[in-house]
Amino acid sequence: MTELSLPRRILIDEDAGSALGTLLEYYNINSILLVTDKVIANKDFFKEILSLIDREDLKIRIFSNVNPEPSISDVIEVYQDYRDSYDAIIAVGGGSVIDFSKSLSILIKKGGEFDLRGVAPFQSLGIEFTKPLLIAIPTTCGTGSDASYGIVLTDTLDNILVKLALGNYELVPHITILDAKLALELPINLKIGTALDALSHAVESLVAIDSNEFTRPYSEHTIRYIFKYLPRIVDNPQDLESLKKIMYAATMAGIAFTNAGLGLAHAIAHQLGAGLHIHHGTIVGMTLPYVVKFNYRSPTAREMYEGIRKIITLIDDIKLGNNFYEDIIDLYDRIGFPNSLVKLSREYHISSDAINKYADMALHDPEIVYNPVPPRYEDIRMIIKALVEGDINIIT
Amino acid sequence: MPRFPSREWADELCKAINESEGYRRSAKGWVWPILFKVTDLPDELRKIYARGSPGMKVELDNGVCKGVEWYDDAEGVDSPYIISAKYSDWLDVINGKVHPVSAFVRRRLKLEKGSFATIMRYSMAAVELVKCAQKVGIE
Repeated sequence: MTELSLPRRILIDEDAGSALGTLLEYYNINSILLVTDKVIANKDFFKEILSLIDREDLKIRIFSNVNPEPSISDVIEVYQDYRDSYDAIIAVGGGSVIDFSKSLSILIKKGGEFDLRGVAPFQSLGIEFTKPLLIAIPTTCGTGSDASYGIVLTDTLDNILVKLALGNYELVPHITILDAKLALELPINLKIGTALDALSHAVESLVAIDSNEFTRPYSEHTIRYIFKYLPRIVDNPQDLESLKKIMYAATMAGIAFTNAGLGLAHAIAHQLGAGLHIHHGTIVGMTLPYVVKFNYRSPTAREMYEGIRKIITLIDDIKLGNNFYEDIIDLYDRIGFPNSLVKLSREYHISSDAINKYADMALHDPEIVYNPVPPRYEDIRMIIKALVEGDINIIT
Repeated sequence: MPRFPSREWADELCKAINESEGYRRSAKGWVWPILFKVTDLPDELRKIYARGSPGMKVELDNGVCKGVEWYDDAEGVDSPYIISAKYSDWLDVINGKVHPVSAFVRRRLKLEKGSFATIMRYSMAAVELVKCAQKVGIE
């Protein structure tokens, strides 16, 4: 049995404020909780969204203090102050804001006793058809959380800070509104970082164990768009047309990985990102080519990689190299993105003991099982070592 | 090759687990027995197990199988973790036609009892466990 879960509505290339105002009236929504972070709350576009949806009979509460990479305790704390009956929760922001909103919506629907750590795609949460509706308005161009079932929250386990990758199909937002203008002011390093998160979603979902005929077109389209449009954004960060394509790509990748799964790059990046405090898109993008080379061991994955290379070469007329992992590294060179931890910072030259620790933790990350080549502990150590040193030849 | 499911098959599974370096590594920290239940038996097995659902409780502790208990009818048997599935779905998982995690996601394997939060951290151990089952094989 194969399934495809995706938002009920995706509003594409819309003016977010106007579209949201129309939707709230259409769905007869009279009370909302608007969730965002401090940075977004001070943006003019956020104030404009507020003014466009404002009407006398609409009760609005705002929580505007979502932390970057929020924790389970953050969600519980905010739930205590904001638990109420809402018709809709509206998440305006990047992955952290949308993930936080999904988590908060679970507690609002199921009560504060519910253990968020147990959110898994294996069973019904019983909240799919209950209010509040979740409406996502992404302001970055990478996480795909606006179309995905996933939540990433930080937690402390055995006194170690870890990232929990959770997910359930009932958490796919009901509606997502894509307005690339909201991402125009994003600093270029975050435009790159989030876009490489989308690339990682797409490349991993392309070959993941649950990849299928319905998910692969989303993965492939995302990869094409990142290869074609990300260099243009690096050349001109205000290129709205290219930014639109990257934002669409991010959402498409969210659909792809929700239904196909991810893989080893995410399993490793969750540990390194939490342990070394590196932005998720940056660390997962950096890990990606090393995992792609490792996955060339799988004839099926190799075929998929070579297939997308043909599409990029023939249809998009982009010259590529000898294999997909080198193509990704070439793309990174073109956009000035480092391909090793040491190039990112000398302080990331982690010890052999630390590599062992991260490898062991990655082995317990739920994304790992979706990888087309089941990795052994030694394989993960090898990949992390290669990533630290920036030497892809270490991967055999 | 022992018949699946049977006491002999369960014993062979325990042996295969203890020979698996991959399972030992990925299941470090898992200390709970799992009861595997088989429902919807085909007619030929129904002649052997006339009523209920046969099952095996595998005593797993930090990557080691410490023993198995066999039940001709496992209905009502308790265990910290209980996973059940139709006979045909177990076959698909053990034969490698369906990935164990996909089987959970698609509701073909059901977690009747236990913590999803913990299971999420041991998904690679589940894959290794299936590899052990594949070593034992199915007729």
